[in-house]
Formats: sequence, structure tokens, C-alpha cells
Amino acid sequence: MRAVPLDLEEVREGLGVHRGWTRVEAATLSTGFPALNQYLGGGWPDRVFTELRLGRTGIGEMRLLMPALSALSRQYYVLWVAPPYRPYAPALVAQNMVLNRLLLARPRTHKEALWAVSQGLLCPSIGAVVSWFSGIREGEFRGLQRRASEGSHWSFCFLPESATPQPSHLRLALQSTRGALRIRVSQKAKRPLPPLVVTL
Amino acid sequence: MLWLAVMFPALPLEVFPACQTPFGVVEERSLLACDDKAKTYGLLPGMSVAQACALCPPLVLRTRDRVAEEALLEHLADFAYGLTPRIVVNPTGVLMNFTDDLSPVGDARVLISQVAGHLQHRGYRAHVALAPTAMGASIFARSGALSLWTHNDAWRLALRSLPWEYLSLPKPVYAACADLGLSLIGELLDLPRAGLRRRFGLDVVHTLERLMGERPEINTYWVPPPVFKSRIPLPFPAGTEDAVLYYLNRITTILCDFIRRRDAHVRQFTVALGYEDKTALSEKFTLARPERDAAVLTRLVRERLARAKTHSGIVWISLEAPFETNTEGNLSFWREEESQGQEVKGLLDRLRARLGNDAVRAVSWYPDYRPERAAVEVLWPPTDYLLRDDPGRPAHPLWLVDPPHPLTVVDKVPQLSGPLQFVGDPERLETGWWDGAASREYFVAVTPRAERLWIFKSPDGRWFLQGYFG
Repeated sequence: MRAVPLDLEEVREGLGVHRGWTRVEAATLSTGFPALNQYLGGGWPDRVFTELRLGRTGIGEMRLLMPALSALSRQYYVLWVAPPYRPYAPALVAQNMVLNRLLLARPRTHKEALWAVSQGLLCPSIGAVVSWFSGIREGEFRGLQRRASEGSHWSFCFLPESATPQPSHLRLALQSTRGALRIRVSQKAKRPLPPLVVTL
Repeated sequence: MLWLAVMFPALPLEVFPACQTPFGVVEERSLLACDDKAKTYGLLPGMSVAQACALCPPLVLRTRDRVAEEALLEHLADFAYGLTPRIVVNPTGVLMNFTDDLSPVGDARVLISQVAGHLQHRGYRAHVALAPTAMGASIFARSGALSLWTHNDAWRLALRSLPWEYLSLPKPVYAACADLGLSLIGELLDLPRAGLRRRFGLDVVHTLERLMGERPEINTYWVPPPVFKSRIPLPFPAGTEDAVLYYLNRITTILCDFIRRRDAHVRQFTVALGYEDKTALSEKFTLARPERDAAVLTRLVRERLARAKTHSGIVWISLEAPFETNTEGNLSFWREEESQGQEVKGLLDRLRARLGNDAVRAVSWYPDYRPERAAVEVLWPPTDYLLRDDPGRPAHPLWLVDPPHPLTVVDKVPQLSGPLQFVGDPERLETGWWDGAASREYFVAVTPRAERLWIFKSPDGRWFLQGYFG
């Protein structure tokens, strides 16, 4: 038998070679709203600590998030840290949420809430971490943002409109109009986009 | 089969700390055992307390401590469990069963030196003997001479030359044997068996046959208790977290080594800390998944202790954990679903340790029309009351306000930051006559700021906010 000198690159290009899994660099998750998908470049980006600003509860902020969370709950667990009210199970099921994949954490202090979010961002079985804060300091926000960028989670953080501005990579300011939601999307290092109106 | 017997000739005495004066142990008003110093005064086991005190005025007496004796035997059995899984514990000692080639030790002298070394280290006096039958081994041990007999030796002959008092026979038989003028086991064995049976009963004959290995012996084997207990006294009162953590880590490592040897897991454990001012803090931990990793356990305790403020130095740490044998293997490769569940359980444990047990919840759905009863936050894991084929209620809001928030009414129109506007048809709820009747008329309403609410009107005309369409 004679050894044939091979060009490694040629072999790698060949067909019969197992290449294993290739890690998709940044996954996106469809928001369930085509117009918003287009705005966000495909859907909710993972590894980004998405900031959601809203003036009042009940304007449709959860209806905006539920399609994505429900899709995730089929495969992963979803952690909600300090939700403002009690989630109503029949409505969650109507939105196709898998109920026993939903974890609620009710921390007593702000510090505990921050810790719970960071723990959720460390656990690979958690698909998404949704958190509610009445206010957050810039350093704390940056810390969570760093954690989010290390894992492969979707993370959302609700903040009131009046809270101090945060150095977020993706911010959605939500405002209610009649039967619809006006969203102002601002992304880091991207030119500002005109407000988008999503009918829920 | 070979049996190694470890007998404590002075077990009732040895469980008490050493004493300078003559010392004795009392059970049921008579002297059970006394030490050598007391024996020089002429004391003998079996004397009455009054007699003993009269003969020896400086005598110190204690009541027999059976609990301590049992604890000592348990400890020895625990040690022996490392040598063989077949152990018999009887009131005076421990018997270990080995195969004929003494596997896994292989050599009788090595085995004996191991056992003797352990006993010496602990400071106990014991007699050790090896013989082919359990009863034989314990009799050889009781006789006090270190004896190693295997099947090839003349162990039966040696046994015959021992006094029959070492046999545990019923009291009337004892008296009868004495009356017969017997002194050795061999003499008892030489008597015709049929006559023995008529005179003393079948049990005595069977005992003799078991002793000589002519009849199989029946033993109940010792089972190690499925609980781990350990207490570490700290050499100095520890105040800093680092110092406490060091000892905490040590005790969890001991636990994990222990359960790994038993191929077991812990699902719950209790850590207690003793403070200088004689107070103690006890914390119970329940794990969502069985654990055997010391680092994980230490981290959990650390999270909990970070909240407990130390007011004085810690002088001891104890850990108690019932464990369960391992039933789930590491099959994460095949059962990805399960391994995902395991990861979440680890997260749950961490969250619970820091936030408290009731801070981690699940949403559960009960079949009830009253919203506040239909959706409840329960402790994780959720009990699955959900009706699988129920499609949910799309017309209902995602956030539930419980208890309902009363609304002000102006000109018969409910208000929340302005007059509310109704959307769609009302939904009537009439239920619960058996426990807390509810009669409500539900509406979907919109505030002037375009928030969607779920409100209801009670029969007395008052309005309440029940939920937000988040």
C-alpha cells in the first residue's frame, strides 16, 4: 500500500467528513409579530439583556412577550423573577405556555432579585429569564448584562418609564395606543428607527 | 465460612470514663461488673449493692448505660462493615463473617491486626477469635485467649477443652450441668444426644450441633443505619465566615465520602452550629435532587448562613443526614430530558437556600370558576391538577389582582385614572355556594390611558378590579 499525500484542506472540504455541531453565533427567537421580527433582525436576540420600558401595567406588555416565552417553554424552563401580580394560569395556557415549565421567584429584597436573575442566567436548562424591577443601578444592570452575554439565554427586564436610563444593547419603550402597542426600538450602535405600532 | 468474633469482656465498664477509685456498674440492684481495683477488695459480679458497698467503702457505682454500649457496638459494626458486609451484633460483641479464604483481606493475621489496631486506637479492651462457626468464635473470644482456627485445624478439639459456662444455655440447664459434675464442653458433647434431648429439650441439642458446625447457624445480619451523623468541635471559637466555611467544607466532605462508599445520596440534611453562649442554630435543607457533591452542599449552607448573623463565635458544627441508596445512574447522555430536570433542580436548591423555601413557586391551575381559586401560586414542584384538554381561557387576563381592588364609582361608571370604557359582553359567574359563594358580573374595560382591565360588579353594586391584560 502506498501512502498518498493529502491536502488537509481538501479533506475538510470533502463530503464524507463529520463536522459535528456548529454553534450558531447568535440565535434569534421569533417574537410572533412579523413587523417586530423585521425590526429586530429576525426576532428576540439571545445573550442580550433586553430592556423593556413601560408606563403602566396592562398595556399588552406580556402579550408581546408571550409567543416567544410559550415557544421556549416547550423545550426549556422559564424563570420569572418578582412579577408584579399573580400570573393567571388559564390565560397562560390559552397562550400555549407549558405551566409546569414556569418558575416564579419572589425575592424579598432588590439584592436577592438581582442574585436570582444571575442564577437563572447561569442555569443551562433555563430558556428565558424575565425580571421586573422598580429601579436598577447602572452597575447592577451592567453586571446582569455581562452574565446574559456569557450564557445562551433570552432575558427580559421590565423597568418603569421613570427609571434611570440604562446602557442596554436593546431597549424597547412600550406605549399604549387604542388596541395596539407603540414600540420605540433602540439598539446599541444602530441608527434609530421610527416607532412601530403592533396590533396585539 | 469463617467467623471473627470481637468480644468486650468489660463492655459495661468501658463505656464510662476511667476512674481513680474502685468502680462498678450496677444493674437491677446487683453488681454487674467491677474493675480490677474493686476486685482486690473481694468484690464479685452478682453481689448485691449493699454487700459491695460494705466490702469496699470507696466504691463508685453507676447504673448500666445500655445506650452507650449499643452505640459502641454500632460503631464497631460500622468499622467492620468496611471489611465484610455480613455482620452480627450481639449484646457483648460483634461477629464478622468471612469466606474460607478470608477475602478480601486474605490473611488472618493481617485481619486481626487491623481490627486490634482499630480497637487499640479507640482505647477499648477486646478479645478476638477466629473460628469456623459463629458460636465457636464467640466462645473462643470469651475464653480470652487469642485463637485463630480455620477448617484445617483441630478447632473442635480445642473447643471441647473449654468450660461449658461459656455456652449460653438456659438457667435450669446450667444448674443441671453443674449437678451432673460436668466441667468441659467436651464432656457435655460426649453425653448421648437422645438422653440430652429428653432431659434438656431439643434446643440444647441444636445449640451444641450448631456449635460444632453440624447444623447451619441462623443469624440476623446487621444493616447499617441509613443516616449520617457527625459533629466537629472547633479548636477555637470561629467568628469569621472563612473559618466557619473551612470546617463546614470538612464536614460535608466527610459526609460525601461516607455516602459515596455506600453508593447513596442525600436528599435532606440538617446543619447545626453551636455558639459560645451555648445557643445553637439548626437549619434544615431539603434538596430537589439527590446530591453527593460536597461543593454543592457547602454552597447551599453558605447561602443560608450568609443571612444568619453570627452574634458570637461558633464552637461546634454538626451535620445529620438520612441518605437513600442510589437508584438513578448517570444517564444524561440517553436521558437528556431528565438531566435538564436535574439542572433545574440544582437551580431550585440554590434559590431556595438563599431566598427561602416559600420564595420559589409554580403556577397551578385548579378546576374552579372563581379566578382567585383557579390560579394559585404553589410551592415548587407543582401538583398537576391541570385538565390536559382544557384549552385555557383566552378572554381572561394574564395578571390576577388578588384580593380584588375596589374601584370608585362616579355617575354609575367605575373609575381608574378616569372613567372606564366597557369592551364586549359581560361574563356572569355564579358559583361556590358550598364554600364562599361568588356572584359576579365580569367586564373587560379600558382606561383612558388604554390599559385593559378585567373588572367585576358584585350583587351589591360595588366594582372591583380583578386583573390586568398584561
